[in-house]
Amino acid sequence: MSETRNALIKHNGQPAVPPVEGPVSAPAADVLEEHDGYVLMLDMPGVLREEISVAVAEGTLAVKAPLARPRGGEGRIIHREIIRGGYERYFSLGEGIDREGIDARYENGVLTVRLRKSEAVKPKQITIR
Amino acid sequence: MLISFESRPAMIPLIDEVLSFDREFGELFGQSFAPAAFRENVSMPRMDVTEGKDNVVVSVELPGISKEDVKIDLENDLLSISGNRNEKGQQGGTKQIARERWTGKFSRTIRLPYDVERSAVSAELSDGLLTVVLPKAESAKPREIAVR
Repeated sequence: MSETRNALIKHNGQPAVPPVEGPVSAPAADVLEEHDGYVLMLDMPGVLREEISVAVAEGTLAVKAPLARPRGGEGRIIHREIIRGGYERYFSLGEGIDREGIDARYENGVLTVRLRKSEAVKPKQITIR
Repeated sequence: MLISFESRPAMIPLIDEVLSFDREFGELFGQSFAPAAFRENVSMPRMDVTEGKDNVVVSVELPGISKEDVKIDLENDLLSISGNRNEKGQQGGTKQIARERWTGKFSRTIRLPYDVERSAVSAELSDGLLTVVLPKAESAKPREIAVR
């Protein structure tokens, strides 16, 4: 993990994605394979859309978000289960993924990342002449 | 000199904890001792309860759930938050490679530590975080009594 982190930091001599400060947790993720790509869905409730970063460097997709705002009310804690901290998770991308065609959207606390398969690995239908 | 009174100590016996105990206990005996309604596979999303001066705030993580799919009930001093997370199922040609996120029914129930002003309870669901604000009833607010 730390090697991946370093690789990301060194990418192009610039930090590709600055590490999230403070404690982080890995958001739960679903991965679906579709005909022409993959869909990643991550549960990341309570962060600001502007502060989520999705980046690809050296074959790794990095998803990060700092905790954007205090969750829950102010005052005396009676019961606490929600983890304070940011989200951070890495995914290794196989050769068959188009590094350019990555699309991400955040809605209702779920981050959905769409990855396209590269042309070379897409299933092809060959027409018989 | 002022003496301040708080109505009563905050104690939340957690039904959820009893249920998770029942689940573990039940595995030993091969049967559950909890009521049937509780035995189904129900997710328990993470929850915080915070007490302010004038209110009690309950926050629950409900990512990917629209507000139509959340039910909030207040019966006596029991607050229940429940519903369903049903996302689009697998469509033709879709293959699930990893599945970590919970789906289906969810439910959390707590016993409120204070009497609340029922008509003034409000709830908001934003960015997958549900926040229920329950203003304390007048009788439950801290009082200061001046000593004459």
